Amino acid sequence: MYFYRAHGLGIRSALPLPGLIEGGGTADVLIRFEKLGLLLDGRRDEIRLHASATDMITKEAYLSWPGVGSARVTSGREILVEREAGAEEEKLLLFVLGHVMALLLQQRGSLALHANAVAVNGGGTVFLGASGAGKTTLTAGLHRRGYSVLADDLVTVGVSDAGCPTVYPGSACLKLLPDVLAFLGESPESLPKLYAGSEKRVRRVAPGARALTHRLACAFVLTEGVRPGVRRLRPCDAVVELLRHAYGTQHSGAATTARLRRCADVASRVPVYRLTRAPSLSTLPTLLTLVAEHLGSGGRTCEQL
Amino acid sequence: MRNMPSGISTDSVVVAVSEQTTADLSGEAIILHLETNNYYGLNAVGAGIWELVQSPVSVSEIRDSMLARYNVLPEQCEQDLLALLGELASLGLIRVSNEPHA
Repeated sequence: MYFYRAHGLGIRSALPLPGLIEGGGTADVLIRFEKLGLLLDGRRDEIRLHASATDMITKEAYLSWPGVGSARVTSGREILVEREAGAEEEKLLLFVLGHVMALLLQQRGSLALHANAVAVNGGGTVFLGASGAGKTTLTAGLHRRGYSVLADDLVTVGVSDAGCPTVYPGSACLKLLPDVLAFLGESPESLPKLYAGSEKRVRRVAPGARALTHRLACAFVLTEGVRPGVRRLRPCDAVVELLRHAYGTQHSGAATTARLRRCADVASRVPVYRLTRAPSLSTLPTLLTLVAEHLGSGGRTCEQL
Repeated sequence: MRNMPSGISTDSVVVAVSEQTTADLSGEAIILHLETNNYYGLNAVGAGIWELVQSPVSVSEIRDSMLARYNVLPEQCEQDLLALLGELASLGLIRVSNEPHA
């Protein structure tokens, strides 16, 4: 068994989960292998959820990725994994640390965001964006400028005892395209592929920030535009963006009410900005400087608002 | 009595539909329609009106409550109120009843 701390939880796992901070303590979540016998038909590039919207949150749900494996997630406490014969380890890892973990976090009532996070002056900054929006490129750029990476692709937002939004370290494996790595001065050939056939490479970064909880300082929503720019969003628009990038938003029902309130709470307490990036990589330094300027001002803390 | 194209008048009784959920945004509000998944933001005044329509209420009652709360001309108040309610009705967020009530 392996022990990790991620998303504010102690994880005991039969599956090694490189990229998570290793550590002991109490286990909130158990991950083990089990024969699930789920019939895996469907498209090989598609991860499917097998559950009703209410069951997904209250009881248990199954996720499957044909060619990779399946998982049963129960009560936010247990993940049973079945690996398909011949499945690549890297893909299984992506599956478990991505969609499966996001589902578990939803079952626990956490706000799971499709986002990246970096640590800044003891606080955490979150970058929201759809796949391909440039979250990881920006995160890698910030990492090169000395910021610690907290999480890639999946960020959990919790609440501190004082009622302030917090972020936790998650998986710090940056998945980057070769041209981005080359632009950042790294050689893509020296890094492992995300999985066989994938263009992306995995750039594992050391967890620089040792703290297991960071106050959420601010959030950026990445969009593509003509030239780099930053603009603060009205709280109402910020809620919509947070919801749009929250895992599970497509399922309505009771969970959505809870999620709406969590997003509204975050938007009331921390500034949320729209960050526009230009398509060309050559504008990345300008974008990084823009972000750094906003981070430099520290962002007001929740307590000060 | 004023009439809106949406059929809402000061005599209409309005109520929020049940297929929605609301969150407070430091005095403002955001409403989510659970079936269409559309979001609708309200400023502080709108949020106050939204609170009133959580149970059936006549438009004139809302208007009077607004007039007691804000320093605004009755004509303007009524016009703005009917416009907002018309918008909420067109988004399927409130139900409008024009039945004469006892």
